[in-house]
Amino acid sequence: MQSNFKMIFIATFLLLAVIFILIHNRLIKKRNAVSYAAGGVDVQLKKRHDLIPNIIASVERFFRHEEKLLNGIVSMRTQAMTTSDEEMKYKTESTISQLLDTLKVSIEAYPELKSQENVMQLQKNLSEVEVEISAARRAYNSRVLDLNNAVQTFPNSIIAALSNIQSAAMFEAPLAEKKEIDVKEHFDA
Amino acid sequence: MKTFEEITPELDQKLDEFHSYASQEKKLRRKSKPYTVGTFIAFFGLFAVGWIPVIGWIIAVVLFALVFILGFKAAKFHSKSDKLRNEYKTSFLNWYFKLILGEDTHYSVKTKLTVQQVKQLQLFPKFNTLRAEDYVKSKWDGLDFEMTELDLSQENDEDYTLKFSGIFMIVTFQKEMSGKTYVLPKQSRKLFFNRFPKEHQDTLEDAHFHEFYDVYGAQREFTRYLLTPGMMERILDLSKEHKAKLYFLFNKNKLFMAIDWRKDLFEPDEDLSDPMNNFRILHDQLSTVKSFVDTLRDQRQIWDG
Repeated sequence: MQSNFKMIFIATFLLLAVIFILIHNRLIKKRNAVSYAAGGVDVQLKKRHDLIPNIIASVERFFRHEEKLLNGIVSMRTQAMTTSDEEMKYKTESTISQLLDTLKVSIEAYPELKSQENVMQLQKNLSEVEVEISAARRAYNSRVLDLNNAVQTFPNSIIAALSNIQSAAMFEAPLAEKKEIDVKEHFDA
Repeated sequence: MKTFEEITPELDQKLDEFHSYASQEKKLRRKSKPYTVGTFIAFFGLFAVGWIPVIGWIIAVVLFALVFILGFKAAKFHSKSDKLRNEYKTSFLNWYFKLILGEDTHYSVKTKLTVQQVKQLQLFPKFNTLRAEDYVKSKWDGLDFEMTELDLSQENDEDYTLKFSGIFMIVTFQKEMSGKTYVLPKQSRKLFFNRFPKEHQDTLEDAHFHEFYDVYGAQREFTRYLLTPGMMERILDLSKEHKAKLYFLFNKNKLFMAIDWRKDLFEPDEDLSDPMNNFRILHDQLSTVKSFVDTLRDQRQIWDG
């Protein structure tokens, strides 16, 4: 009788251990997928950072009276590249997006500049990078959703707590991105 | 692509040709009718006279000969009619597609598409029989474009199920990308269940889109790169507009798209009292296909390489 009880106890323990390992591994995979997707976003952002100096160099000759806009883009880029604070980084990148949009609109006002082949090519590359950034962010969010669903549902939540696997934050377009942009605000300081 | 109004004057000039073809085909069909009917009567007569002793057997032999002769004649007329139809289609549709899509367009009645090639794409529910005709190859603003009418069915001794009937097309873009994404009608989920691993099913932000379509793809960035909110909206619009199921496979620099229209396309109808309407239908079918490709181009400068 006692031996049967022992056997049941060992079997239950083994079963729980297997379940624990399986869920733990699945959670780790999901967490890694989030990190991988975040890396994907960074790669696209890096592409944009690399494009910015070329764009500035191509248009600065025509944009003497809009020096503040160009300086704003450069300083935001530097800030985005140097900061280690994730939240600050996202905010800065959003500001860069808005400033680049303003720059694109400004270029439209210069037919001479618009017709230059290198400017056209840079604009095209920039648009493409923006699409890639958006896709990478959406992919990141979908990975985060998978992780959060896994971490917050029972019984995964227990194993996640024991393994210190936490929910991740989604990328959300800051409210400022939806508002009319006030360029001055970013580089008058 | 030219609008229908732009090509109407040239189509007007083709009306005589169309009527001539239609009357020739009508004549052939009229001629073949007595032979076809005669063949059937003689065939069933064979069974009716079989029970009469001696004389019944003699009549049966005569009827058998009649079945053979009349059947042969009927088949000959049908074959002539088919040949005429194919000749007309080749000449007219070649001219018509060139008129709409430009000189860099080629049409042929037959398609070289094989069951194996279509199966390899894994885009359609399980099938074992393929019928494909009306092949068009063209270039649209630098994009290579191929299109064919396609019927897929699962056939065995007792059962026939039509799995797909509509247009299948391949658009080759200039930019090479890496990734593979399927967009398949929701209703097909069970049919495709074993084909795609569960972990490859992808859920995008548009819940309305997912009421009608499932998305499968291992690379989520690639999927989202192509399926922007605008693109998902366009796919839904297209499927509502045409009340048709759409199948998509984005693979590297190719888009495979299939529209399950459940109707015979690009067939000149000789009984049609209004041939211009027939031409318009053809134009509309092509416009739909073209508008989708344009949507891709408009939204995605990436296709330009």
